[in-house]
Amino acid sequence: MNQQKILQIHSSKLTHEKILPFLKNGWSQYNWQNISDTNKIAESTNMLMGRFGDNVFPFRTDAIDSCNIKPPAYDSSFTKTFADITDEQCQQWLKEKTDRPWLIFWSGGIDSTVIVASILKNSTAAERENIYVACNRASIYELPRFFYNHVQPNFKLIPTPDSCKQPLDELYHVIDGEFADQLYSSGIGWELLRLCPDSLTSDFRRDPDLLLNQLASRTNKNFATWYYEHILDNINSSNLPIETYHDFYWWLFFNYHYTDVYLRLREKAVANKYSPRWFATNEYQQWAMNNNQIGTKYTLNLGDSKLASKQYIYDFDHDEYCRVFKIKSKSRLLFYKLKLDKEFCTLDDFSKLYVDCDLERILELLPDYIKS
Amino acid sequence: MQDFKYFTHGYSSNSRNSIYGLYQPVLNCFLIVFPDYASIGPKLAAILSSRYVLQPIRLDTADNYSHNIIDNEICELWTISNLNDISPNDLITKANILLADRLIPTTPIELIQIEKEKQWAQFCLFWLRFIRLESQFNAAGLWIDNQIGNLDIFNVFEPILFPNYREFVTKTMSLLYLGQDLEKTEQAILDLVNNTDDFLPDRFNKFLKEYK
Repeated sequence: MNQQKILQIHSSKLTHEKILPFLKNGWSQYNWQNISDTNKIAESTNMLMGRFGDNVFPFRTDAIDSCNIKPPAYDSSFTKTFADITDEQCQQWLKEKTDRPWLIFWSGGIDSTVIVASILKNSTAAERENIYVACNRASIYELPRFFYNHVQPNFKLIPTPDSCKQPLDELYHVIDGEFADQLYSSGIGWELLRLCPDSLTSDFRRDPDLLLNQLASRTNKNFATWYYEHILDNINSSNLPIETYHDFYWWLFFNYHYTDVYLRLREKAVANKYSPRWFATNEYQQWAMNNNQIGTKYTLNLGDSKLASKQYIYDFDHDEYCRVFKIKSKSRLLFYKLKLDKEFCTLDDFSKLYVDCDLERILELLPDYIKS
Repeated sequence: MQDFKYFTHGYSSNSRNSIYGLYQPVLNCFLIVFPDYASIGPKLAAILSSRYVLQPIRLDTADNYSHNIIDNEICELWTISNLNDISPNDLITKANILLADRLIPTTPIELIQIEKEKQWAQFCLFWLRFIRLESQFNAAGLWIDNQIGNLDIFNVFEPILFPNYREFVTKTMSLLYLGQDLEKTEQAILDLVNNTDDFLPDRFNKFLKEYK
């Protein structure tokens, strides 16, 4: 039997009383309480494995290497728009991915609606014969007019499967809106928008106080300073133009949250090995790295998060309400009924180990670079 | 605004009644205020959710509340001090009533014609109240007040007693939920009123006359 390897450790579990005595001691890099608290930044997500720049946390990037999710090298001459990329990709996939039907997971959220709008814009009725849309009541509530005007008349619908014995991607090209959050700054920065509208465009190096306060509000001042300095080191080593509060939050999701999302998707029964990831292509990532300026991804209005995506939908359906008011919601949680497990770690075969029942195995596999 | 056919000020003549408002986070203002939240509020927020999410807020808990400073004439000029208690991303799944600490004057962000949105909200409120009144009158129509929504336990009576009326309610709710143009939606509902049951047109005219 091949030796299994830990791909990712759930940060909040590092301070578990049965684990902590076996970890290396140290104040800065090995401050396990702070490392555990990184989990509090964005709703129990792991934000420790950076895809870009220096590795500032005490974890190797095995998951990134073995899952092949490194970002493309930054190209400052990249000029394609979000709409260009979306249309070109849809047209290309319609030509290439013809061996199985497509199954679009439409949650009614902004991201999966971009995909459906793109298909309607770029496909023929004959091509759509081979495209199914999975949705449920929650999807319709999210965007009812889009459903009745565009989804229902144009696609064969199936109810969203909660789980299935056979992975759906053996039967379909399963396509969903995952990884779009990582192109934008997701929801964290928008808290600041209400508190201090101009802060998203502030220079986080020159004027970090508000950012530190927001990080501290989730944990404490010591953590905020520690985390800020680590992320700053990573950002400075990346050589990307990351300057504002908006950019800082975008970076957390683009660089650090990406791996967590990838592993989470592998755990879902519905789509494992073969499914193409619409928003994970190099072109979308290149776009994300080149378009952090205000007016493209966001403005200082709460309703303008994911601006380029919303503009794409608006150009298709001209629904002003969606364009002005649609905000990021937790449609994914309603849609998939994901179990947010509290595992200790994910292994390289994507199985999980739990402290309560797998302690011996966990200690056996704990990497040397964090073990005392 | 007061000339609008379905306008009400949104406060109760009984000063002990609580007053609620529906707050829109993107516009950072209230779109409507009204006293009868328990019977109407969740339905109104649900109907309007096809346009935007709304946070229900109890206004009379604000230390500076008076119906002289906020009513449906000027509700778009007010926000609250405790905005941090609102999580716009959660409003599609849960919208617990928030208690206002203090009312704060604001200048609404004119991303859309707010006056039209206020009118639409008042229009929906009117029809929800009308449906509720009729449901109460038709004792078997208690089902409309059932927040659970999908329970079929009353359906055994409905088709026998009020089959047309039930269809009227369902169609009216759909028109309000998906409607965009007020005049067209109003006409479609009035057509239903006139073509459903004999008793409905008279009831509607009486209700409208006494509404303000």
